[in-house]
Amino acid sequence: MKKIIHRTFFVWNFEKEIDWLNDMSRQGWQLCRAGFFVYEFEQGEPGEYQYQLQLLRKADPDYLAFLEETGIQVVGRCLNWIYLKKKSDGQPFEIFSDLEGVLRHLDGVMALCGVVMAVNVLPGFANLANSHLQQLSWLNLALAAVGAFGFFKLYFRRRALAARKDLHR
Amino acid sequence: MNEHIALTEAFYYILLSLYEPLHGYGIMQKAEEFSDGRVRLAAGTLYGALNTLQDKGWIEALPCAPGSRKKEYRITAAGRAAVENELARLKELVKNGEQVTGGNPV
Repeated sequence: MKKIIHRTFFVWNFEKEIDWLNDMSRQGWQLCRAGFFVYEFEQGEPGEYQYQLQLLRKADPDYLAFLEETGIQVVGRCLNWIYLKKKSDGQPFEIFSDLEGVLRHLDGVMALCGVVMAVNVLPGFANLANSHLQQLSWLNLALAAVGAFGFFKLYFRRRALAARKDLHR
Repeated sequence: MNEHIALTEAFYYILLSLYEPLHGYGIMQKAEEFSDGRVRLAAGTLYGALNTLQDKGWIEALPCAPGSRKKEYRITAAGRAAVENELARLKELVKNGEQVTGGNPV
């Protein structure tokens, strides 16, 4: 049996998305496909798999092959985000066991928010005066605001995490 | 080899485990075994570390066996030198630590 769920998560909340996927897994719903705001699950063993999400900086087939080799499967892809699953083995499933890795990954997500903000803020203001483009302009400004919000949310999370680093080198 | 920067635990155990050729999953298991389950290398971290160590010339990838996509790695002479440097540094830390705290005499 399969079911499709439409849900929205903002990129700065990707950990909430992971929690939700793991929660679905505990209820016996295993992710088999993911796209824009859409998730397809199939019924399986409760808790059989654990999930993770990663934003890739570049296409690297070697990395995906390496993940497979360590028992991690790519179940879905949405732009540069990959959805990963691993058979539960009683240990938490993480992509990075080092703080540097976690921080670098957050930098990538921050950069993504920054790009959304940057490409929308100029046309947003530039077209505001043009009565034909005013609606589009508000859309640009709204997207720029969303990008900025995400950027600063992640920035403060990153700063709190990085503060832990100094003592633990 | 004039690098006197401390190796992280992850780098140290990856290098130690590669005194014999191993593939990625084998390195994870070996590091866990060395540390009694304390050091668990996650895949993304290990992949980045393997690339860094290859760039430094401390490890090398071995040619893949026919029909296999699993890459095996092995430590190089430069990598062994780095481990030996680190070992000397760790011994110094332990020696001084024990002398000052009155732990087991060296």
